[in-house]
Amino acid sequence: MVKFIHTSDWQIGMKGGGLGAAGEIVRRARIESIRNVFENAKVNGVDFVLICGDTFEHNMVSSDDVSAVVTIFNEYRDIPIYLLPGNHDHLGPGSVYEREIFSRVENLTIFQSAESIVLGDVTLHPIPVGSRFSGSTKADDFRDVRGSPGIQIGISHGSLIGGFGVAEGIDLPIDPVCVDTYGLDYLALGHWHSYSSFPDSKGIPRIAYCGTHEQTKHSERDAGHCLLVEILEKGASPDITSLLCGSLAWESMDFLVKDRSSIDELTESLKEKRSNDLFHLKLSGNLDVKFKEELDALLKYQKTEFKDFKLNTDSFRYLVPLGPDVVVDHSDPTLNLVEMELRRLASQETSEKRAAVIEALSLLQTLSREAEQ
Amino acid sequence: MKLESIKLMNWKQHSYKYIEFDDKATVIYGSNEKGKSTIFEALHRGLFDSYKSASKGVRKIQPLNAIGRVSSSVGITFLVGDEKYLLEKTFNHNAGSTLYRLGDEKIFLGEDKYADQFVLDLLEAEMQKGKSKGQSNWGAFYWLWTSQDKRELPKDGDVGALKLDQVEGNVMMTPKLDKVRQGFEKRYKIFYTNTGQQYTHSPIVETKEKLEPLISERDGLTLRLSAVEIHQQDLNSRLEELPRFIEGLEHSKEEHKIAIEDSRDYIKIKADQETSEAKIKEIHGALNEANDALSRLKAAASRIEGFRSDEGKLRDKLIQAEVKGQRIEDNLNKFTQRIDRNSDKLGKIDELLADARAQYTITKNKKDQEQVIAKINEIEEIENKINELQSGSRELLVSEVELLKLEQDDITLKIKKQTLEDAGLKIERIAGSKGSLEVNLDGNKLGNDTGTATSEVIVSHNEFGEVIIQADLEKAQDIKRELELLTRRIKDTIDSNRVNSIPELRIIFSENEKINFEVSTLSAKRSGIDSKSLDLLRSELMITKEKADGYLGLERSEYVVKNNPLDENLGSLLVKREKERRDTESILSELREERDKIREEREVSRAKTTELNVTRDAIILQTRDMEKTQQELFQRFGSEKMQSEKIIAETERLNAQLEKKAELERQFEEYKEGPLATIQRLENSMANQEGIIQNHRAAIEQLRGKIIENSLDGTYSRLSKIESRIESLKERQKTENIMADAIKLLKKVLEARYKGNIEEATKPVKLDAAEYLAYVTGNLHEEVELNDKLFPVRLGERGLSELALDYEDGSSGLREAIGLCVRIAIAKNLCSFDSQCLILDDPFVHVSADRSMRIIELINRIVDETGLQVLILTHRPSEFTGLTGKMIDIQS
Repeated sequence: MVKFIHTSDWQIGMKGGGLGAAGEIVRRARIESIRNVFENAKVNGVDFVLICGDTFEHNMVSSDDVSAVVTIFNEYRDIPIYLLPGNHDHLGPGSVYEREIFSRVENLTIFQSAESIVLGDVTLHPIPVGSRFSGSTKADDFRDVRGSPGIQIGISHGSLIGGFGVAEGIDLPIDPVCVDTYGLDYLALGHWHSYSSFPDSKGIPRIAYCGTHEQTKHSERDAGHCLLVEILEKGASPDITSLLCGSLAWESMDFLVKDRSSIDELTESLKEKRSNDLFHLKLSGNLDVKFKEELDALLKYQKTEFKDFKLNTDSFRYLVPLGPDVVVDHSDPTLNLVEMELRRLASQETSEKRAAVIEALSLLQTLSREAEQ
Repeated sequence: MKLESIKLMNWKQHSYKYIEFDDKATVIYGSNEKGKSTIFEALHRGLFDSYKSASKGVRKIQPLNAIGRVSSSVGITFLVGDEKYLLEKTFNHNAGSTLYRLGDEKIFLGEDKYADQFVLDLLEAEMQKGKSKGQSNWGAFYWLWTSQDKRELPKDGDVGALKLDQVEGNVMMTPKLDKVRQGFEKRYKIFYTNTGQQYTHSPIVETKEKLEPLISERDGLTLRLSAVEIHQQDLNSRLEELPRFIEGLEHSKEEHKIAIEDSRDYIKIKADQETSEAKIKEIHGALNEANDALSRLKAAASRIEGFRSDEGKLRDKLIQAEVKGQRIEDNLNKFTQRIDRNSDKLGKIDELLADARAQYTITKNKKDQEQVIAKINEIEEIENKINELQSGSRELLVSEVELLKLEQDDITLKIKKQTLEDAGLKIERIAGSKGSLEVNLDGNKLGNDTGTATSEVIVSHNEFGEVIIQADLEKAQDIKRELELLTRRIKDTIDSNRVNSIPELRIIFSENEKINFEVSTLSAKRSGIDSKSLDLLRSELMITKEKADGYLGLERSEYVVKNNPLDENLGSLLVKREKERRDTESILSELREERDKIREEREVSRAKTTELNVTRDAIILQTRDMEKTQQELFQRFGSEKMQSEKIIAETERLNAQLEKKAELERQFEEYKEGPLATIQRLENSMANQEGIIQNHRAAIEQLRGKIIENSLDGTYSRLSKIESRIESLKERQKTENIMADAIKLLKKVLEARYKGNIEEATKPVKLDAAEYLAYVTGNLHEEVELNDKLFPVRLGERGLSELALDYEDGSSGLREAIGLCVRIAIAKNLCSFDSQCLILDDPFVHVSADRSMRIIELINRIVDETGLQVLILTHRPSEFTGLTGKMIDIQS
């Protein structure tokens, strides 16, 4: 029997594209969440922790990032760690694993080759990535262990052919039949950021992506987890449990704006989302420009409520009515004429310039209101 | 709006007052505290105050003698457009308000607050607000109804905007618009400068400045990453290629080994070649040695022969030089003899020349002495005559000019004396006075008085009484003093010349003139003989005599007596002897020069002979040295013949070895085409392969080093952080750009509307106000400038804009006049869309009479032109007699 934690794609030092200022928050959280992985390992009394590639985003990550990871490894020196280099932190000249600091981690084994490692009743079959340019199928590197005793665990990093219905154009392709062909009890994979498991020819889930331990972007599913894998004996069905380890709460919300009352509804909805760290709000619909100041104030306030607040207004538009029914009353004829002129411009301008016209209108209304106070 | 009447009850000093206003102008006059301003107060409280107002001002309306709660009421009849209204309003006790429309019937329109609001709506005014509630607006009445307390025009922010154009709704600058513009300007300045340029510290610029270095660093890091990836690819490629190169080299080495096995004969030929070459080298050595010895022997013989030949030539030259030296010596002797002869001849000539010179001098001195003695005698005779003449002359201390002047002064003196006497004037001088005058009439002295003043004397006359004689006594005194001076000068001259009169002086002077003439004639004659003095002539005579005497002692030799005959012309003889001497000297000089040249030639010849002797001795020594060397060579190498035979033998040996070498080379060439070429090719190939492998390994190490170096720097982590920052800043930049564009757009629209609306609306009022002020001040202040709230800001320029007069610079009278002109201008313009009522409470406080008169003329004109109604409240009715309308005594 073997019990281990399957984790991957920590991608320490990642850019966090699209996150802007929140990038630094996410980068810090990714390091902190490693502790959660090991806490899960410790609580569950695992035999080892298996890291299936891309521990680091790049071989050229800073010494600080490497040092932070190594520090955590050393904090859990009782737990053996088996680390597979991925396509981001591949082996070869300049590999991050050539750095001297790794030689000081006693409980860490870095798979430098495809040589199998026997741990009592369990044999680990790693296929480390030697170059990010290799791109060839690595599944052929497994040995046929169908007749070998003990639990056989394959460890690789790449894209499972047909995994998400994509057959061509994937990088580091892995053929799922290798599990049956070579007699693996479990194929621990890294590369994809969402948790997924796949069955062998008998329908037993033997292939799994654990996903990244900390969510990277709003579009990822079931990220922020690691897997607790338990296999009783050779040929037994692996018991796979997803354990939460991500420290940041990500949330996305779509909201349709209909009229002024939508602002109140949105205010209430956002109150309920306060527990999240990184929040993405996608607005759609229309709103009269006279309520812009109010909506702006609400959205501005939200930026202080979350660690990161992203707003998408691609499908949202301010309405700028123009016509005899429109009542413009600044108690000043000149200001009234200015507003009418801006409204007329708003109906003519393209979307890019319209944003400035809308802002000018809003500013006029703000100034008018301030003048009355 | 126009007022028709007002009725007051229990309103301050008016228990009851009813006034009907003229359609054009009404002047309500009266003494102080008679309730004129109360009429004004009743009008604006009636129309604009709430009926239920309990303000202090409203409570003070009740009469002073009132006891308990009193109702104070006002009834105002007014016209708005064509409609007539009656407003009845009661304050304090039983407060209430009622509005009626008056026509054929009296129609109730509303009461209390409805009535109040109705009125405000009619008048387009707002209810007055307390100070704490900010600005109030009671329409045009702020400008048209001028109380004593508010003579100045409303300033910025005091009141709301005036609606100047009913159709377009154009107004002047409103306080709100002003605030909006101020608020906008603050925001505008965040992004732009006054000239519309982007402000250097605007958020956009700051964000850009933050972004630029980050982008630059990002690009640098990205390039670094790309470079590492390229290095990585290159490294992989090289690592894959390296085993292939090594394998190729090993293959070449195997081939090389086989080729070496196939070329064993080549080694023997190579060894024979080397032996043959060594022998050839040895023979070449022997040959060189023999040739060297032979040439040295030949050279020694040749040089000895050469030295001997040179010595013979020198010997011939030496003989020739000695012959030439003898010839020069002979020539020199000849010249020496000629010089001696000419020297003797010159001695003789000198003797003759000295004698000729002595004889000539003796003869010449004798003649000269005779001539000098004759001159001395003649001069002594003339000088005796001159002395005799001069002894007959008398010495005078006066020149001819002075004598003439003396004669003229004498005549002048006489004339002036006569003239004074003829004029009846006798001038005397009394000591200490300015001067005195005796006046005679027909020779009789007038009166006893003698004037002593400077300008006039008064004398008495029996017939004429007291006569004032005016005379320039100073001048008279001057004339007198002049006459005295003349008299004294004439006398002094006569005395000094020891004569009795001027004519006597003239006679003596004439005689002296004659003597002087004769003396000068004789003196000229004496000078003609000789200008030298007698003493000098006598001294010269003595010298000449002594000189001649010196020659008299000389003895003449026989030779001299024979050759210098004294009966000849001694002068010609002397010339002849001098010429002979010069000729002889010339010949002697030429001979000496020639002799010196020959001497120099002799020196050169002697030096040449010496040199030839030295050279010849040196050659003889060299010949001996070379003969010694030749002897040594013979002992070492033998004869030339022996060396020649040796050379022939060694040459034969060399030819034999060369033939052998040629054979070996031919055999070598045969191998070169075969196995040797293969070996060479393989060796070249192996060297290339080894070079490639070496380069490849170096490149691999270099790439490995570069990759590791970049990896350790943490380039990627830094890039991650920078990209997050760039992303964040770009997001901000986008928002800032939109805001900046929005501000620019708002400014553009706001300014356009501002110009098109406010400027247009206020323009007619500004023009009218300027025109009126020009009229009132006699064109002194036609450049008054009003702001967009129709408040005067500048009074005009004084040549330079920075010295323009501000409104505050104006006098109280001018400011009052400006206020009135602006109010009249506003009233005139408002009349274009409704009738208006202008109320002025005591308007002329500071304005001078001439200007107040023009203002009244102006009001009359506007009233006629526009139908404006005017109400004046004053305690000086005489100022308004020119106003067309009616006058009401408030006390009547």
